[in-house]
Amino acid sequence: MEFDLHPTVTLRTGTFAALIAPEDLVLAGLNDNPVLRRFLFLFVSGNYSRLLSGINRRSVTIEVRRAFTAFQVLTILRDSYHTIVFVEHDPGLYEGSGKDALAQVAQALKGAGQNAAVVLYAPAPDPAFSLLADRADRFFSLSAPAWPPRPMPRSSGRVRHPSGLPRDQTTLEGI
Amino acid sequence: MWITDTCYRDTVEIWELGRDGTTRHRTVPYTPSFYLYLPDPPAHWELLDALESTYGAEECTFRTVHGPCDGYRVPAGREVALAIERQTGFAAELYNVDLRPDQQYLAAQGLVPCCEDTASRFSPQLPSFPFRTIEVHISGIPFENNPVCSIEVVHERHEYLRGEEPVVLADLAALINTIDPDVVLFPHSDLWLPRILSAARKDGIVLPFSRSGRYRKMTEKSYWSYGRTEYRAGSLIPDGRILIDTTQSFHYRESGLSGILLGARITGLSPNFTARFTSGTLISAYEVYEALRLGIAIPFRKSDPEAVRRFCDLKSADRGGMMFQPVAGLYEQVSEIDFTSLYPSIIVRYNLSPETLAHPDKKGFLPLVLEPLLALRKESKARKAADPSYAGIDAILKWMLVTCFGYTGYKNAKFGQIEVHEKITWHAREILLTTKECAEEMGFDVLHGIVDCLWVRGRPAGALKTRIEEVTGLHTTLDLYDWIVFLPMSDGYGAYNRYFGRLSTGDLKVRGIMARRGDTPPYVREMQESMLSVMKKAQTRAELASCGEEVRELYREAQSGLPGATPSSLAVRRQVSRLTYSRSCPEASAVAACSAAGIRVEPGMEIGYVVTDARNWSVELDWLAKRFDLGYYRRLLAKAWEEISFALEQAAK
Repeated sequence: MEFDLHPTVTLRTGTFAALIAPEDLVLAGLNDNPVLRRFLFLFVSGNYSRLLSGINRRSVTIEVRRAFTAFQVLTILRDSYHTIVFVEHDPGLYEGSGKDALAQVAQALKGAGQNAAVVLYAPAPDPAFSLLADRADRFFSLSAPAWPPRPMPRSSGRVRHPSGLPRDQTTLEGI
Repeated sequence: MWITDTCYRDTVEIWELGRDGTTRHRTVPYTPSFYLYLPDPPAHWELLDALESTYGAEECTFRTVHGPCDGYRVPAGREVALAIERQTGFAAELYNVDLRPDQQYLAAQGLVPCCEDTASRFSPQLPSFPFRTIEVHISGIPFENNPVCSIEVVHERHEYLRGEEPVVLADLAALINTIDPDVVLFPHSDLWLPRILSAARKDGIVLPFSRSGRYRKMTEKSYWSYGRTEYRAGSLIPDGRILIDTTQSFHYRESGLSGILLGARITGLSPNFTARFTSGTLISAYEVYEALRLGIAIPFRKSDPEAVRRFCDLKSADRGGMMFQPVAGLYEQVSEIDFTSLYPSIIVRYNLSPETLAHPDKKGFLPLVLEPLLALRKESKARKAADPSYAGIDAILKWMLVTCFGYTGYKNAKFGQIEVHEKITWHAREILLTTKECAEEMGFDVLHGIVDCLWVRGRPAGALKTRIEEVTGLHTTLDLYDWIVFLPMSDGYGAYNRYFGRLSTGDLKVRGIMARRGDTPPYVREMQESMLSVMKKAQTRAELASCGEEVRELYREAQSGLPGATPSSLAVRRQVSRLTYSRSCPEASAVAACSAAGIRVEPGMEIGYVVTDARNWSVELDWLAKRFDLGYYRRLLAKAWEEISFALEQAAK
């Protein structure tokens, strides 16, 4: 099984992929994706999901399990029988759980990725995400679409950046 | 004998107080052990062999809330448990790892602090005990590093110790030795004690706050609770005496010494800890004590997640409490029906516990242990109505029961599960809807509702209370208002949590307005309080309208007196959630002011400051402030006046 979450991101069974991308881009890939209706899809999140409220319940058939500790993430990954496992990363789950637990979760993601398409997603990297993503087979980093540049005001010497856009390209469009 | 303090240092140490005032210290040999369950023991035979030969681990059957479990008892500490976790790749399930050994010992022996007879543990009656209590007040600002030159000690009489720091500290040491207090009430002791102990040591003085000379150290921490950052200062806890920081201790402020002692009695913790822990930690400690008493093992890690759910099921289940939005305005003949400890009552009535999700026929652990606590709360609440001395006991029970619901959804709760949390809120929503229907069927107008409270207009409300209790099976209390005002939000719709009204008893009930907010400057609060005390006399809408001019005059006086107000009366006290701010705000300036004054700030700390220029949010620390921004405080007064004037305008309509 393989499906395109984005024109540059193709996910396959038997891989563990780490993904950094804006939320709307991921939601666009999840909603109205016909492939996601055909396969068992597990969405794993923490207590505060940025994506769940944006998922169209009519367009996808997904199952959800929320974890509140790193140890619950481990149980969920070890119990999973789904074809696609999408893990929305929550750094709060790993606070105080120690590096050993984090390493075990990375191992479990990798293990689950042998029989399923496993995606670890975060809108921005953090230390816990980086440690987990170290075990990923593939790493995708997508930035927000670039807006046409605004005309520079002639009279001012200061350079103003449109709000919400990075000052320079920080990642490649897709690796 | 009453146990007044316990701790564990390879042995359990217990301090006791007899009815004749004598104190006793004893040590009891005790080695705690933990339980281990392995889903596949043969896969870990080498580990099991090593645990048996090195620590004497043995096979056993232990109880969990889900039933009996075949595993191993390992007489070793936390480090060994962590090594097992690592070695088994977190496949091992561990129990009783991170418990307080002194609490474990007391539970095993059926003992609790502050109680002679465990049978009366759930009694609201706290017998008088010959505590020798002193109060210690040090003059000065604890953040400043000035020498301590003035201390007031209150016991049978007031003693004022003044002079050079070594003299004052030597006098304090002599006084403590003479009185030998069991309880020390000491404002800002968490800040003062390390300083004066260090200063005394330099001068060769032993300050005998500790009966053994030793102190336990609680480290400071910032933590996230109910959507805000909280801070707990580090503490030095003396052996054998109850030391309470009367300023920092939430439970002392809310429930006094009687509440602290009851908290110790029901949780099995030393009063030194019940004074310092949060309500959530206390309810958790109570559940742990009860589990230990019942022989139920307590899981170390929370590894059982919610079941797999379909997305649409999750959306329908995952809702919070029910609210009915009020229409802003003034109402007469209003009744407030309030469910007593609604969420814990739901847990007990509907037998909600992690293990009853799969086996609803089985009596759950949470209902089992909450039932006596709930009964005690009902009794203390009833007694409080007639005798205010029960207010402290009632307050600590109220806070513990409030947090027991939230704990079912908390990530570190030992006996929590999110599905239980959702079921509780589901029942609460149904109960409020049923209550509303009952009220409407009986001809009442429903004005407002928040989770466990309903405000209705009409009479007689007694019949409604009886009907609601019959239908829901839950205990309620009834408050009758002569009038009540629901204030508007900025968009004109009624605010859920900002109202005030006159009860038929003549008292005023106030929620959410500036007089109640913790960050309102004293000068502004006093103005609003004086207005409310005038309005309190008005029993009807007409009387309320007629006192409008008197209240308006108080506003004029406050505005005209503002330039002469002392800066300290205009201090705003707020908790800072972080140390770096991306935008200019008073909290950012307050953090900077603390740094400039050499005070280390941690997230969650409360800082008092006076706004000196609101245009750029310049502030000065409250105890250093010499001036203030007149325009800013005029606007605050106007804001406080608006809350009051709305009621007067409504009354005049």
